[in-house]
Amino acid sequence: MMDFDRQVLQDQLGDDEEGFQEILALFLKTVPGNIESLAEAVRKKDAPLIRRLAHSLKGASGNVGALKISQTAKHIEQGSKEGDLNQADEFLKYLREDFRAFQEAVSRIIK
Amino acid sequence: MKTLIVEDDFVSRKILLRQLSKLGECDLAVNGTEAIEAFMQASKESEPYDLICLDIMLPGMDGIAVLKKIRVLEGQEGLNTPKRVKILMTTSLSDKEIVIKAIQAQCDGYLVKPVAQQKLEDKLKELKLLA
Repeated sequence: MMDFDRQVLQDQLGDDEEGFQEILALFLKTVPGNIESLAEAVRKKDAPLIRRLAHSLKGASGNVGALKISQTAKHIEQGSKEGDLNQADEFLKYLREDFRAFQEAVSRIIK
Repeated sequence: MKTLIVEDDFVSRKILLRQLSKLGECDLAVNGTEAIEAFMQASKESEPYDLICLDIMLPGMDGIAVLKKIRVLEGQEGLNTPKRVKILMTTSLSDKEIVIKAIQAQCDGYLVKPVAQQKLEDKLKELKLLA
């Protein structure tokens, strides 16, 4: 699976290069905060909040083509649905790694 | 074409805004309550929306509840099917059940995110919102 699939955003925005840059920048800026909110919810074992935050992150990252982040967020969402929070800590670690990999993949593209 | 985009997630909101502002005027709402307010305000000013893109998963009042509420408000105004606003539900779920529930609650279709520009425009043509 790719860290960043450019095509996903390209299909949505066509030749709107300005939008492409703007949305990637916005995503990069806000995801660390989202991951921290999720980590906080995991610490508090707040399953409904974990589910909502993970769902949101899954959607946002899926839409910008951050496929690994989206996949990891999906696992966290599923775990919280099934009441299984044991793996959440481990998945959070993966999520941070996925984000670093994503940052690196887009660093060559973003202006 | 005047559109209201209802999305709690900023990335989805921004993408739809970029896509739809090519095609006309757009307003934004981040939750169900704001969406209903925007809908009522636009109706009051006699500048109703042609299209509402409505996320199914919203915090608090969810998209289906918003959809139902808008149809009730339109009913009270005596607006029949051809006159009422076109509503497209947006979802990143491939959850059929929720989508079917939404269609029964009288929306005009749904879009599974990510929504390619071409797919969006095809849907709008189908709804006769775009020539």
